[in-house]
Amino acid sequence: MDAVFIGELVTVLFIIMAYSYLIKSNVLFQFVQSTYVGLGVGHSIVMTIKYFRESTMPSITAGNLLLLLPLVAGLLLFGRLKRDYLYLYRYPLAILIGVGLGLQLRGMFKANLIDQITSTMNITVEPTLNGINSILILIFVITSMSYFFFTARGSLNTSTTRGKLLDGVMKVGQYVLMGAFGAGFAASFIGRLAVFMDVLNTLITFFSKLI
Amino acid sequence: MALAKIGYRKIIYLSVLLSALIPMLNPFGLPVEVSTQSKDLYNYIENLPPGANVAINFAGSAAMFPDSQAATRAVLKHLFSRPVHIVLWHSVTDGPLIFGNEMKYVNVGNKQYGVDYVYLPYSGGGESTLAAIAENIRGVYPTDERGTMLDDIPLMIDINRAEDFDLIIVLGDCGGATEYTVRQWTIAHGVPEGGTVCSITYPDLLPFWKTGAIVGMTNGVRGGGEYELLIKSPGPGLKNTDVLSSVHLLYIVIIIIGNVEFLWKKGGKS
Amino acid sequence: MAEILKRKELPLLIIWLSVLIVFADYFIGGSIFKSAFQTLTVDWTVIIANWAVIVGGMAIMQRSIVLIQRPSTATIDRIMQGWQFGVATLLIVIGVFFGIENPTYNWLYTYILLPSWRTVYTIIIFFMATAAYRAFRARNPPSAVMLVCGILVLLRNAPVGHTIWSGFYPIGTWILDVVNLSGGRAIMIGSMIGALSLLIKILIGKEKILGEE
Repeated sequence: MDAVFIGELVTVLFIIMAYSYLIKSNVLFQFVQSTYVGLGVGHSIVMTIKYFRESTMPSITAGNLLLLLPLVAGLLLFGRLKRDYLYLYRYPLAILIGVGLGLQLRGMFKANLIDQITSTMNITVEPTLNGINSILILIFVITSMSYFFFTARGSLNTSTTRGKLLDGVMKVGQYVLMGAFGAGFAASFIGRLAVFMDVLNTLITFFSKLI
Repeated sequence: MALAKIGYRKIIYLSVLLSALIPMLNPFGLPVEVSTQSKDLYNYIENLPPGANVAINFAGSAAMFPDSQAATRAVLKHLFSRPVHIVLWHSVTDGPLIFGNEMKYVNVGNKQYGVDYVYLPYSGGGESTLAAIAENIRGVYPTDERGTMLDDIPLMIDINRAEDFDLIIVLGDCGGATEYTVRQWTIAHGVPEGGTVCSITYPDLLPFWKTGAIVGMTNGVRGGGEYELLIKSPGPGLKNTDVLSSVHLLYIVIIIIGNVEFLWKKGGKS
Repeated sequence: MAEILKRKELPLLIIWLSVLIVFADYFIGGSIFKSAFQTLTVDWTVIIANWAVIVGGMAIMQRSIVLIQRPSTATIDRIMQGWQFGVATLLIVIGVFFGIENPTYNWLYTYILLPSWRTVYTIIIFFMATAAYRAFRARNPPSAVMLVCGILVLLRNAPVGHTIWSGFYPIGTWILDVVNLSGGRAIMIGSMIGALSLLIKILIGKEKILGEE
């Protein structure tokens, strides 16, 4: 029996142990879970050490000694592991938060706000499918946003604080959002199905080799 | 509920298993319609001028990669068949090991490593690292995957920033890489983006496709089948679309049975 | 010295500076801000973010040790946590000293990690099927709309839908390209405003994001 066959056998055993969860939560599933969590953690740490070894250290040894500063600053993150030193962990974390949020927002202004509004307002008034769709998109986006902005003031069905027109607009927005969530559910389902096909393929390949 | 008395869960689990297994063993080969988004990606790559530089951010994670595997493989085949230069890096820890496996199915042809394509290693950090790569590739990756200094690689002599590329493609994204590439490369540096995305993230990216920030993208395993049709190279995508059909039909039947039962009981009570 | 370092104002100042540099590079430009931005992202953030991956992994391993040492932990949980810690350590030792090209490393990754991870991920397919039967009900008009749109998109995504009736594909595409796009766009604009308010709250110190108690 070579390493590949043993590997495939172990794979099939792990798959069966994992699917035993469908009958009842049991120790076999816990074993699979602990194994892949442990291996996943180990793999992440190995790959990161590899990056430091192959990318950061060559730059430092080539003369870029300033890189020692962030290398040492990153060590402060280990303060997370002991409560007494938690305050040290905040410093490198502050850099990550500041840069991360700043990068995200500076791009979002254009990508998520300006471009989206421009595209929504860009309607084509012509009796074609594209024309009708562009007008519908404008209406649907405005109604959906109304649902977000005005729902907090009370439930959708009380018309005492808002006019009937606004209620109608919010109702349309609600339906649009529900339609979007339905489409999202349909999409989320395919992803896992594809992985399931891969797992089934592994089982079929193994058992067909045995037969 | 009627089915609860005979263990409806087990019946449903068995139905899901059979509906996936039967078409895998006996495919029926239903035709696949190609979406506009997949065609856009194909046409954009097809129309790249000779010598264009293409950046690839390989973002396929171990757990969800099978969803975009077919599309990723098809796009890689397409890119390597075109007279373009490719610079690829990994933004997920699983990338280097998964990518190596995919390249076994891609014919590199006459392309030479270091002249036509270069592989860079993995670096963590997500969006921040991508922004850093856009500013200064050598700052993040002084060497390639094999340990050669980038300055010693012919292809990388004139490449160091996002502006040096004509297109960036995100392969196998399931976690937001496509979206933050729009922010850090397309918006910040004007580089158009394409992608092979998981079906979970596909609906959320349609607004970016509509504004033109994303030039084209594929939708999970179905998108893989579509792209295989476009490049006329059948593979795992087309093979798996039959399973999509049967399991989807099963789910629709389950939903309908559940709703019929619900409405029947509701009618009975009233 | 420790008391000064424990105050939240200093990290807050670092957040302010980082955000200012990132925004100034993009909105103002100029070589000074470009240089500061490059140093901040290329040199500092990439390295610290990579350290964060290691610290995250070590936090999980530390938790395993804590659970093993805790008297109230059940024996089976203790064994599982010990196993988890053991396999993580084994992989780290092999990966660091022998490289990821090592056959044992590859074997563990290809034949145990990948398939286990994927299999656990797919268990939800079965639960989604039972949820589709029990919970995906048209109890009121909005949920009926969600149901109908979901079914139409399912039929659009499956090639069999086009075979049953050619109209399913264009209708499903319309739902994706118009309804889903509009809803997604509204959510996007709303989340943009939410992200902006989060940034303001962090900058004025109202958000406990730095692990404060």
